[in-house]
Amino acid sequence: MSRQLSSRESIINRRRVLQGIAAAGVAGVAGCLGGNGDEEVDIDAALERNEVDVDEIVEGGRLEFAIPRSSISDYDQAQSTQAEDSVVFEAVYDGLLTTNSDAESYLWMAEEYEADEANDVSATDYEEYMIEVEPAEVEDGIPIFDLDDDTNLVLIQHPDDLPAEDGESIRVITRDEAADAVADGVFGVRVEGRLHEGIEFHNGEELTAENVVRSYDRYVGSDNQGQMFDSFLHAEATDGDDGYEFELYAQDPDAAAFIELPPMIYPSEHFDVPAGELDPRDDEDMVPIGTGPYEVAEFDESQQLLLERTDNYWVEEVGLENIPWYDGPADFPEGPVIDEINIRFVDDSTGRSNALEDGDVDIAYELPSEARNNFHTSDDYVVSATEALGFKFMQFPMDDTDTGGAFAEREVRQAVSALIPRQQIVDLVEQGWGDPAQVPFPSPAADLGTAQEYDEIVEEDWAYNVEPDVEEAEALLEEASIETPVEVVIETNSDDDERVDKMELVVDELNDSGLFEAELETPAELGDWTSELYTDEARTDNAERNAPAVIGLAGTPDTHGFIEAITDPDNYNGCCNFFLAEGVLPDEFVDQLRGCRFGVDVAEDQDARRAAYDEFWPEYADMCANTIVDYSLNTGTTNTDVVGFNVHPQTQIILSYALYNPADEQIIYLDR
Amino acid sequence: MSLQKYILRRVLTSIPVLFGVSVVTFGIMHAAPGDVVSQMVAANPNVPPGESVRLREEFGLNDPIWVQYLDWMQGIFTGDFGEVYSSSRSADTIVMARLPETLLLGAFGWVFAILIAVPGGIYAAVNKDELGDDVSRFAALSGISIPNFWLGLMLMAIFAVQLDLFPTLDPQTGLLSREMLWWLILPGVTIGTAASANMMRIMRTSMAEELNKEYVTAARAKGLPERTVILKHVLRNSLISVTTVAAFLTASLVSGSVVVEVVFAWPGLGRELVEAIQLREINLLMAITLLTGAVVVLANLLADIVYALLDPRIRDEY
Amino acid sequence: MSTERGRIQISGFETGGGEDWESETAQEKQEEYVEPMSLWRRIVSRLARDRLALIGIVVVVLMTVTALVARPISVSGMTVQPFSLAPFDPTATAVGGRHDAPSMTHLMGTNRQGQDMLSRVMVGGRYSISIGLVVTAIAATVGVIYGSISGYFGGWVDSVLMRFLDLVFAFPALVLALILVALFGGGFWPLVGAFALVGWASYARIIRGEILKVKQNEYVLAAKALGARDRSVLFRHIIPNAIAPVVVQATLSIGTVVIGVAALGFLGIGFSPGTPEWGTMLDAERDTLATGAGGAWYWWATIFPGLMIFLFVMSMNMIGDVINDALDTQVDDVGHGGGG
Repeated sequence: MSRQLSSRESIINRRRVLQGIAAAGVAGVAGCLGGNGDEEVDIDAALERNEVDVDEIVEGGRLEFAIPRSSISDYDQAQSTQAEDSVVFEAVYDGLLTTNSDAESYLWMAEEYEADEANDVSATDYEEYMIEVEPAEVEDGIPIFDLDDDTNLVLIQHPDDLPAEDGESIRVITRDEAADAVADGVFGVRVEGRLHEGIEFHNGEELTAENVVRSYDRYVGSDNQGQMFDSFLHAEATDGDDGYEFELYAQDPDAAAFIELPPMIYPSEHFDVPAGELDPRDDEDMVPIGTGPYEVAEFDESQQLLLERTDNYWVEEVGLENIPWYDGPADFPEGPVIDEINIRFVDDSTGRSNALEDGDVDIAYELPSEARNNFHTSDDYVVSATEALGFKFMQFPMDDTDTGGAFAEREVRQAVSALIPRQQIVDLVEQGWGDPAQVPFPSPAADLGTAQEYDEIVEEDWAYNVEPDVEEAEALLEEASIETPVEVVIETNSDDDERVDKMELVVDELNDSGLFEAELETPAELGDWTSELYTDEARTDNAERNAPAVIGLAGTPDTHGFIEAITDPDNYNGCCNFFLAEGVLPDEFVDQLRGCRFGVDVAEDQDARRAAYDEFWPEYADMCANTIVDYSLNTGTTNTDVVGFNVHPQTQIILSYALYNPADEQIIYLDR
Repeated sequence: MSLQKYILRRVLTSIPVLFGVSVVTFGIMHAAPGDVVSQMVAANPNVPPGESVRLREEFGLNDPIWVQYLDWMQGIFTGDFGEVYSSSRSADTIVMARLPETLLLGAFGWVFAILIAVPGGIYAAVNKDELGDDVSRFAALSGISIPNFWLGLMLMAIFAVQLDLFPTLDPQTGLLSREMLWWLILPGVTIGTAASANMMRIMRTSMAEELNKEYVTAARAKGLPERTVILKHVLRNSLISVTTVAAFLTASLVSGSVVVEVVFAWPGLGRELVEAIQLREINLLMAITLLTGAVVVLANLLADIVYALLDPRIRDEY
Repeated sequence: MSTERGRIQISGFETGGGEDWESETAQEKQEEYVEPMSLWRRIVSRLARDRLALIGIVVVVLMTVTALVARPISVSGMTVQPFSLAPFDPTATAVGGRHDAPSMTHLMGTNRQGQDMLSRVMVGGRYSISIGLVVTAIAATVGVIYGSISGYFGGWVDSVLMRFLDLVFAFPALVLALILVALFGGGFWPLVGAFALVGWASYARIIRGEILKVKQNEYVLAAKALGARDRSVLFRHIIPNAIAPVVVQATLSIGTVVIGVAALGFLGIGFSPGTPEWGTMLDAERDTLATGAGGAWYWWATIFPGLMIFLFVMSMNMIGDVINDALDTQVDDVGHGGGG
């Protein structure tokens, strides 16, 4: 399960970047005050793991950890949609699974956990279990139901009854009927699991299968409802509520189900707390209680949140030797060693950098790039970096409109993609702290995304070029029926300076080639702009103006996230597919895309899934409906009091991973 | 008209003003493109299409605008300022939690303004048309002209970052602890500068005016020492006009706090306001604008009352 | 009870701070009839005598001219201003290194994109100064008309119009502008619109106060008695006489608007990033305040844009101050200043 990705070296070799822009133009007289110029910043060291010698671990201490927010948005993880909330609460709640630094999944609280059966079902296969329900409201053909039971909701709607109309009932499966369907063997995927015995919540309650099954109730009516219940079908405690065995069912034969299904797991006293109310700032009895290594000790409205190490952490009870995959040193600690974590809310990057410099915080992430370079070159700080899951993509409006419509032709899309100066974007704007995109998914998402090694697949001839290739672009445009220069407008959101800087480089490159007459437009801030983009008018309008749109997203280790959200027509006019409505892309193409995640073979066999992706990638790159610009690096900076810090590719688990993760023998301690 | 009646009347006329504030804020928020749901789903690939429709329904954003307004209004009368959608917390909890920080910042700005403005103004008035007056005039004009966000940035860069004299981070001690007050100095000075400059000019003018009055000449003729004349008689009278003007400065402190809190990452209402606008958290924004509106109206009302107390003729105009 | 206390306090001092607060900016001294021409003459002669004001005028003119001739201006393809004084294209990246210190090539250094700070700062005046002027012109016009109507007609018209004015004043100016621009988008005209919307109210209040006073004047009463129409009385006689404090307010408020525009730019909502507007430039270079471990402070990236705002506003205010003195109007820019 722990395939080593040897991709790093090849990427690292190119990562010797001039700190200045000097290479790009007239070299200014280097000022003595600036101390800048042609210094090279070599970030290899940041990508290497910081190892810990088990014998030198010091127990105790208080860690000051800065998160880039002004406060916790929501203590209730069933309700919270903020990544930074999770950074904190991932240390309070442990999951059924955990991930290592390559974002591969490992068993954690689950002793066993496996997708064991998949069936080829779709919504209509549930027909005989469906009941007729009249929606309380219909908005734009989308029915909104109001069921009597607060923990019940509609999971599946009959496609023939949609779009809904006022006053007409619709055939649906609710959670009640889902149980019947599952009993008859109608389901997409079944995941079977068994919990370790002896896991306790902070309040002393033992974790049993009931906690897994009932925790789903908390998501009904929450802001995360849609996300949770678009794949979840049913959960069952197979040897009784007090037992340890459970089964989770997904609606579709979904290869990603085993990752997507597990909820945050709550103690029984919180089962019936409505979503959003598990917040001690509003009711001091409502303190989050999990099975993780830390408990919430002190809190107030905005300034204070102190986590304290729990005295009954389950790994100590269960024993590391009983974690099935663990083969590390026997004396590795059975839990984190730091006593307290003080969360500091510093939402401005300058403030985090200054606080780190002043010694007010020990760990901070998302620092200004220049400051990060200085920390990196200093002996008093350690910067840890890793390839991460954030990506910037450009989506082309593919409609063949009378005016404009240039991007209806594949060659024109490919020409633009060929001219994107990906390496330069990373070198200049990120100062090397990023990766130019070569394939449509980043290396931490490669586990189930290809059978090849990541550094092999980036050498494929369909891979994106990192240096702009004018000749190729010229050749492509000659094949196209369009006259050059092609007028294009690159659009991106206005509230991200770095993104705007990057697109300026793209526009410069397009213009320099003589093949395009490009302009950059920043219509609005992200939220306002996307709400305009998610309309049919925008799709036509952007096609007429030859205006591809560029935004950034944070993916998950599941490979599919990198193509589905931005390509699948089901997501059209939702995040983040602006232009690719039903019918824009060929049906076979869409079917092939979906087939990489949904299907009995891919759901049951991970190698089948890898093979499906390997077949799809050349098609996807060739279609070029989207092209990826770059992938992010996650970086975290610590002072030298903190020993052993390694940043994780998933921002949400930066803190919990650093504190303790036996999968990589990861642990931090304070040496003051 | 008696003073009580006058005050009552002024209070009653401020109610429609606050009502107007709420209507205007509500109207602007709804006329603008996008809403809280579009902000929530903007770049969140985990929200399936159709989910935004459900969220809007849940937040009541699908109702006609007047229904939404009436709902909101109804809530106000029961003390419910509505929900902050993205965190499912109540808007008034958040406002009340942030308020003390902003009040502290404002109070510091006030004290700083008065401490600088009163002596500065007296000095300028006494030395009218001399060098000292010119210097103070120049200083006052500078104080008014310096952009507070730039002043804040520079103070922070020099004193907190380069010289390391002040912390850059919330010391996490109590609101009135020594560390907290120390941390407060830079933002306090930043927000107080413009206010003090404005007050200094007014102080100078009113002092100079008083100094020309007959009773001053008379007092001087009686042989009272200049010090006594200025401190005992003139100052008291000119302070009255400063007090009233100070009320008007409240509005400027409220505006100033937005920018200064952003610069210094001060955990107050101003920063909350900026966030509320960005996230389209309409209930939070309504609560904050209503509160600032009430403060401004109240400050004006106080100024009027002080004036009315001082000069009964004013009341007759109403 | 409290009435008594109030009376006692003021006994003996007949006019202790006793100005009408609604026209708090105006003194009673302004009551005699002044020829409109003499008003301007007075301003000019006073400005010419005051050293500070002269410096102010020189700076304002210099900055305005610099902004105009920094880069060529063309209107719909026609070049109307061919000069190009700025040493570099202000939007061209990598004309120098990243954060080069000030040198002979780059007098104000370069920013993080290697753009020439001097060129950017020069062009930056175009945004702030023009918005300041346009907003003031629009706000003053609207405000004067509104205030005049209110003051001249009095009665219920006045009451209704003044309550609406109270409403505008209940929003701190910058807060309302912030809400409008953040929600409806930035750019030149949206900014003009937002600041004009919040700016006209002060003029209305001032002119109304003035008119209430002027109205009592004999010549106005005489003109009315002679059967002059409302409009002609208003525009021929009343407004020209009440305009002095408006002129002062206008001079002072250009500075306020410039700071306000820059403040929104600083908050990242006025212009799209990369625009060489002073506040936007400051916002873009805020990160330079974080030096990391022992790194250098690229002070030029934040000092110069801010200094330009300060210089321009300061000069405007010095001029305004002198005009204020010359006209004896005592407008104090209460409620504004410093970005407020």
